[in-house]
Amino acid sequence: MNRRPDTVSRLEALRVIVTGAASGIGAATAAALAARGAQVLAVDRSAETMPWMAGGFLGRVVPCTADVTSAVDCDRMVRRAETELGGLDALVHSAGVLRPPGGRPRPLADLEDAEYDAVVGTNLRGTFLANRAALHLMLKQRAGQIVNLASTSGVRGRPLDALYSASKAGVVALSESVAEEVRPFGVRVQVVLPDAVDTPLWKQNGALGGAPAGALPPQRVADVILFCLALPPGVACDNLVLMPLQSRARRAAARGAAETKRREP
Amino acid sequence: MSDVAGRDPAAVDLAGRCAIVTGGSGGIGLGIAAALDRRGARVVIAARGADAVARAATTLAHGAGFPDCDVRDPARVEALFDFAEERFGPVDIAVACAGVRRAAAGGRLVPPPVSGLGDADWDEEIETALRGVFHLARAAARRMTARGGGQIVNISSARGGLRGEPYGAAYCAAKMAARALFHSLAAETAASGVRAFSILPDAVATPLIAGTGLGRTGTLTPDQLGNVVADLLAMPLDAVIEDVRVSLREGRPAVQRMAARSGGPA
Repeated sequence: MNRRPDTVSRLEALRVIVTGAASGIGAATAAALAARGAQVLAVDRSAETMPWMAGGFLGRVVPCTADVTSAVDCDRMVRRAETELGGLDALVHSAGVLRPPGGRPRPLADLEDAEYDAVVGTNLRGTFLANRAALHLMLKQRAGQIVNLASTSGVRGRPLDALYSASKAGVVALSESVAEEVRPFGVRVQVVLPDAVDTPLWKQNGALGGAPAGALPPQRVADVILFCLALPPGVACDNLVLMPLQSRARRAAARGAAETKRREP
Repeated sequence: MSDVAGRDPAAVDLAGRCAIVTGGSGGIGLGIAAALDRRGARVVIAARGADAVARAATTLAHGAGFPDCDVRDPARVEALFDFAEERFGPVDIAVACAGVRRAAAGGRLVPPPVSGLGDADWDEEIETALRGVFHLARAAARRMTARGGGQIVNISSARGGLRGEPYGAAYCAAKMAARALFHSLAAETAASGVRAFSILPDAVATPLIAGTGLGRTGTLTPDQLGNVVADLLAMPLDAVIEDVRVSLREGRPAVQRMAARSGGPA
């Protein structure tokens, strides 16, 4: 058996807000937490039923409709955790968008002002508002932890995804800053940077289609988020970059082929 | 999705796996060996000396010791793999953790600046912390890619593996180079199902940093780090976390440091 008694016990007592919980990484994280006995406030802006909740976690998962771009909603979400979960130990902030509804990959010169507001507003401002709302409570109680979701695009920008990349770079820097600020008060902030993950986010590319081959299952990111949450007090992992093993292999192979070609006379 | 107990069924079960830990007789290495041992892995502790290795091996429930293992000697590293395979079967996990413990003068270590760094000091650091890592990585990669699976871990450092620090030129040069070696290794072996990655811990309470002044603001314990490494090795094998930085979130807070400094933000 691969028992992890410390890890499991640290997770089962947690009361956690998960934003972006309707789909993708947020849904996988909420389900994994609930499966380990955590109490979860599953937050998303749509009131649609969260399909993954059919998994039988209803006793431990409370759905909550909130828009992370609204400060009022974020404060309300934290109050609901207090009343319905009996408190708040952790925030997993996974809510994010690749581009606005109907948007498509375009170079920066063609982007509208509204697209900036939609992407940076949700990803970066949303992180600010959700973190701030949670910290108001966590700093008071001198305990708590936050895991923010960034992306490898936040370390190296990708063409046609300037706004997404910029917003995720902002999430990394915001997380680093706030982690240092709140550390003395017993609050731990970590940030996870996944590479391509097979989530509905890719559908925002419209006709260009879904996740690239080799994208990680969202459960894998949930594994890493749970790993972060279960770290013993006083220990943190900084800026975890999570890559699919195989896409890496393909890239290496492509580089190798290009190199061979270049060397040929 | 998780199974009933909330575990990811894709997680790696460490029980029964054969693991090698160089530098395993003390400090971080022993912390990792102990954590893997607690999860049922068959651990071979390798290090220089015989007594320390034997003592460390007796603390393991399932493991064994491989004495006089100077990682600077490639033949000895190959012999380590042969020994582990003979005892416990093919090596699933290889952890490079051997480091140089520098002699302290008057109970306090004063690391030299580049201008005062002796050839012998430079060579010892680079030979152990870089060439030794290469020997282990090469032996592991050969055997693991042939079998189509395995994990290779490089214990780097957040104080030296990310950028050079004053009075630590040889150490930082070795640590940064070894991390680069692992980037290359990881990309090469991924197609064969072999995962390779580096872990960059903050100061850990070990004999290595005794007297250096590091860790005055608090340290990780070898046990804490060992558990983190074991958790990472148990992560499902379709993903890899590159350059895992493990830091301490206790001790003297940054805000106080900032307040103590005059002037504004950098």
